Amino acid sequence: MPEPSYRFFDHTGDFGVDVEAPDEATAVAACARAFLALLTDAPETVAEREALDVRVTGVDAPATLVALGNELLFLFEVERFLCARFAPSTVEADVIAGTAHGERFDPARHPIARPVKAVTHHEAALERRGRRVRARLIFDL
Amino acid sequence: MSRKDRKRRQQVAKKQARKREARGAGPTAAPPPYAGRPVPLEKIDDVRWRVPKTGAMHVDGIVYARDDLLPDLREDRCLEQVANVATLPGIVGHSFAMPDIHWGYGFPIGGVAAFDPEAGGVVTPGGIGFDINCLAGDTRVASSLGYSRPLRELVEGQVRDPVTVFDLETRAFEAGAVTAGLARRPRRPVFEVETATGRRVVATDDHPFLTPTGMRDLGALVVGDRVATHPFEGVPYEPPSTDVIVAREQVREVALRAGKGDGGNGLEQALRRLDDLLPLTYDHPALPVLLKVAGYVLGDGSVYLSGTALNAVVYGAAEDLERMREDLRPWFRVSPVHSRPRQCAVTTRYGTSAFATTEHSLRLGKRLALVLAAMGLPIGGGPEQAERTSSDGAKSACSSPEAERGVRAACAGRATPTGRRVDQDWGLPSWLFEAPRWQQRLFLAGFFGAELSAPAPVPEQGTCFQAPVLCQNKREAHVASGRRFLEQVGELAARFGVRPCTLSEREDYDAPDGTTSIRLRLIFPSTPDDLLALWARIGFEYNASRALKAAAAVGYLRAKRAALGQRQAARDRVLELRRRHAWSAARIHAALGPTAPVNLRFVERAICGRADARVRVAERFPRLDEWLEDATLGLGDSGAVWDEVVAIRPRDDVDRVYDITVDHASHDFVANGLVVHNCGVRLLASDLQLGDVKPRLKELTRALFEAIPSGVGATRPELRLDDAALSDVLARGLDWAVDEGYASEEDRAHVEEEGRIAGADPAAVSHRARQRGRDQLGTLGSGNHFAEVGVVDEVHDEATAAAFGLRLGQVTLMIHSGSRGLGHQVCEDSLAAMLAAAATYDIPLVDRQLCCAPIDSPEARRYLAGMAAAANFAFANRQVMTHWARQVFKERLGARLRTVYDVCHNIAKFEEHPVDGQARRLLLHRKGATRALPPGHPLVPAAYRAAGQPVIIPGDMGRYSFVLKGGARAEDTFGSACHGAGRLLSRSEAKRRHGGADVARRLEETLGVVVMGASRATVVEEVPEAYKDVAQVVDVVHLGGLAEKVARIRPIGVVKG
Repeated sequence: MPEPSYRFFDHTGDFGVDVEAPDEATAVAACARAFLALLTDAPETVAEREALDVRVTGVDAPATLVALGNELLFLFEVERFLCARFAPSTVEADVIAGTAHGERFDPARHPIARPVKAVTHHEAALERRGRRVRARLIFDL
Repeated sequence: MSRKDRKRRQQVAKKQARKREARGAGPTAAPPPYAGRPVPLEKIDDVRWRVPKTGAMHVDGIVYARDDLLPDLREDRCLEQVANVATLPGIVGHSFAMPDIHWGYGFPIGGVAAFDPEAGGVVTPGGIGFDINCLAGDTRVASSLGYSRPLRELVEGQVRDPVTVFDLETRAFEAGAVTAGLARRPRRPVFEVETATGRRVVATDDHPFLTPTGMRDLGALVVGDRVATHPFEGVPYEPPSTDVIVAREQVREVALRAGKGDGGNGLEQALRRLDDLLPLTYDHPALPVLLKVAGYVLGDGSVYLSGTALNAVVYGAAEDLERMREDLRPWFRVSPVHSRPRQCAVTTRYGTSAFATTEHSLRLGKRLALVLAAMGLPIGGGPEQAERTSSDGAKSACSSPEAERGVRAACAGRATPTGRRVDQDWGLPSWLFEAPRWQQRLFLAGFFGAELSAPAPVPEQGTCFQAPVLCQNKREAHVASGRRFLEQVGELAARFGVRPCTLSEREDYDAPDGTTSIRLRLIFPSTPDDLLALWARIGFEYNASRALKAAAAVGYLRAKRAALGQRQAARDRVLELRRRHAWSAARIHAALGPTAPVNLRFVERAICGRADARVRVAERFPRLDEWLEDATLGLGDSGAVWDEVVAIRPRDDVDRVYDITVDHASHDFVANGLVVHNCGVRLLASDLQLGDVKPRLKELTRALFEAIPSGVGATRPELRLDDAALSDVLARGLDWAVDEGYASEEDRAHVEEEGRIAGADPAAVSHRARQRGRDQLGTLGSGNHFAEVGVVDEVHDEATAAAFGLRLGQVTLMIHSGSRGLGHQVCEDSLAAMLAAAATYDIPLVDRQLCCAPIDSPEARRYLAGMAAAANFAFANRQVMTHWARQVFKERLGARLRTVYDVCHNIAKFEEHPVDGQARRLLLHRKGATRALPPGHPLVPAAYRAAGQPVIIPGDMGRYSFVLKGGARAEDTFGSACHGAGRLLSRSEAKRRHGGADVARRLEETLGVVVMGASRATVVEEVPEAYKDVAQVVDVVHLGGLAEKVARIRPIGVVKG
């Protein structure tokens, strides 16, 4: 499966990610993959051994995307679950649902490059521009 | 806030809610003041620059910087953010930027702003269940028939009753069928949610509740969140018996006497058409709707004789009659609702009232009329008279005297009355008293829907309700029967907890035949308990208007009772504090915290008043109409109201949870009535000199690295907090640490606010935040957080350094950390609510991360309570790390560590500062900025008061950090100074320039600094060159008079996350 397309950018002491995709579901999946790539410099070490249902809500599309980012952070911090691939089943302005495929964090196999403190609402975006969908998230490190 | 203000705000909120509905739930975006153009800087003096007010900015921005720092400031968009902050409502003075400013999230890091609660200032951080998750088995699920049943019963009994569903599209309660159920062991943590009005529900943490921002998981709820509730509660379900209410023979008798001959097969055909209904038993599926309709017909309808057959008609609002028609459709063919204009005149002894109206009626049909008559309903006036039966003046209902006599005879056996009701002796049928309560409720609620006065507040008063009244007219000869009937209604109502009613009567009308009509009035008690029993347990059927008013009244009465309970609890707390400490009223009021529902005057009255004085609701407690505006915002005219979560408790005693699937697009049901970041820095001084440590520096650094958990998932196994202990930490901060032996009284005296922010409420911290924080107490974290061994290498102010206990060559330890994941989750939880709040309060946002709510709003109060709890966690976190560092220093070097000072630099706090010469209580936002109080300030610890508050400014891990003291001009920035060096290189640029090098080795070889980090990437990204020279930053605040240099500390051993 081709790697979802995303691009990191600098935000003072932190990182942001920009995504351009043909549709919302692909954009959301790319954001989830970017989150993993931020946590670890070796995302390919994370296997799809488990699947967790994820459902988040927000007041609008950017807030819902931020909620998804924070949900993935929560799963990592509390459940020690690293999401290798997020397969969305529903992507709407106020809800994103889908399945997080991944495995439990194993320090021996998963080098954590930089723990993320939070996914911020700053400049968050999930919007259609013409025939493309643009997404942006900025991570507090 | 005055009632007028509240009303105005509610009107604004409602208007905005309508707008929001039109465009979606998110806040309004506004153009940033300097969007797409450079931010101008006008020089004020050597260290200050003005960002001129433009666009939506309320005030100028003031940036503290020297010329040499300006190019760095223009590297990112932090100056835009200074301007953005100036757009927030209620900002006072200026939007300040410290010299370490850099691009943040909404607020610039290094930003300071003060907001006036009295000028619309803001704070900015940032139970209907859902049918896919699980609830406890004893959760009562509301049926659309007005009863509730335990969820366990529905699932295990495979009961497919219609349940009450909240339609998320139409915002109305409807019926939905249960199509499936499941039971299982809980796979997720289970919690009990309690609301302000006493509603409780036990559910798994992933169970969503309806909130103003949509469905939210229980795990993300915090105390103070609003959840939708259905005020109506009904009564518990009881299985009905198989006893017969109406037998076939009884129907035959009634039909025969009505003139239906038994010669042909007409009667048999009529009876055969009732095969699906007869015998009518208590457990017959048609009985619930028959009970509601019978009750309504008794009040505003009639069963009458038409030719040789009985018929029936009801009158009411068109929408109510349509609902009745829908209810009857499975069993009876009912005509469409008929509407016609009417000119009416009602004459009584006290005058004539004439009016025009549109009359809506529903002909119920012969088949249903026969059943209703056989059930014991009186046979009275026909359609032309029936609307006047309750107000008298009707003519004979029967088509012929012979037929009427016949029906009377047939009905005598089961006491079915006939004739005009005012002229009849009749009462409630005896079988009704044998029915389960939920069936009695259906009958009464139908009757009340037609006859009981609508819930209404006392005019000109607005917080109490008028006594509900039920009226009946009787001719003199039948008054005793009328009294008995109303007494029977009172007896039935008593079964629902309504206390005995009062009966009154007066002469009302003199009929042409010389008889007098008497108006009998059954007056229900008007105490809150009685009204709640009447309206929440019985309520109204087929009268949407009165049902809505009853739901609102029930919600209001419960809210009022909850408010009284809170004020009673506050009064008890006041008296306890007075008895234990003999504090002044002002001190007690301050100790209660900003979220207490009482003012200073209340405290004074509690202290000086009578011990048995009754607590009343606050004068500003809203009137019903004001309350309704707010309590139903976004819920439409559904009867649902918002209730507030007051507690979320873990439940480990639930071993089985249940779930039902509802056949409705909204997939919800009514279960038990139900439809906030922070870090800082601490400086410790050892009794060692550099020479004592240098030979064993590596050993010391490694020991600290091992003792203080850092990096992903690192914890100390001996410190595991259960939920109660975590709540204690959140509520009491450093007090908890003292009690647990992690801190001394001396530590406490040297921490900002003594390590306990007033107003902290553990209940305002969500379960998710707790999950993130539970294992993180005493851990360092990552990114720019550190524990750093240093040495005092310069002293700028000998006297103050001595006052702080610092001397040249002394070894120190600095800890920079915060509230960890818990604080971030508190912030995230609050941001979601603040985004909605910004929309509700019509605050346009130039940046979504600047979402905010007025300081006196529920959203702001919740955030402040949660943020204070997170700050307490952060104080305790730094203290626990201090404890472990002390163990290392003692074990390795036999040395002690004394707390110099501990101060937050990410916090919003109420503080008093002079504005235009007047002391004002302001909400200070310090985002990457340190409090810096000048000498003599009362909030500075006594030991330092003459010198000024210590201001700790960490630098980078290669050069130096500084200790300053609050300066003479600190009030220029509301007592605030910079908090660090400020970042110069992005992480990727730092990595690009230094990623290939062994940063730790280079620092040790070139600067003698030992660095140990959990993550190599973090060490590289935190390389000293990534930061500005903190000396440049500190010089600015020193020259600006905000804080004055006392000493410089050079790092020698660094632990990074």
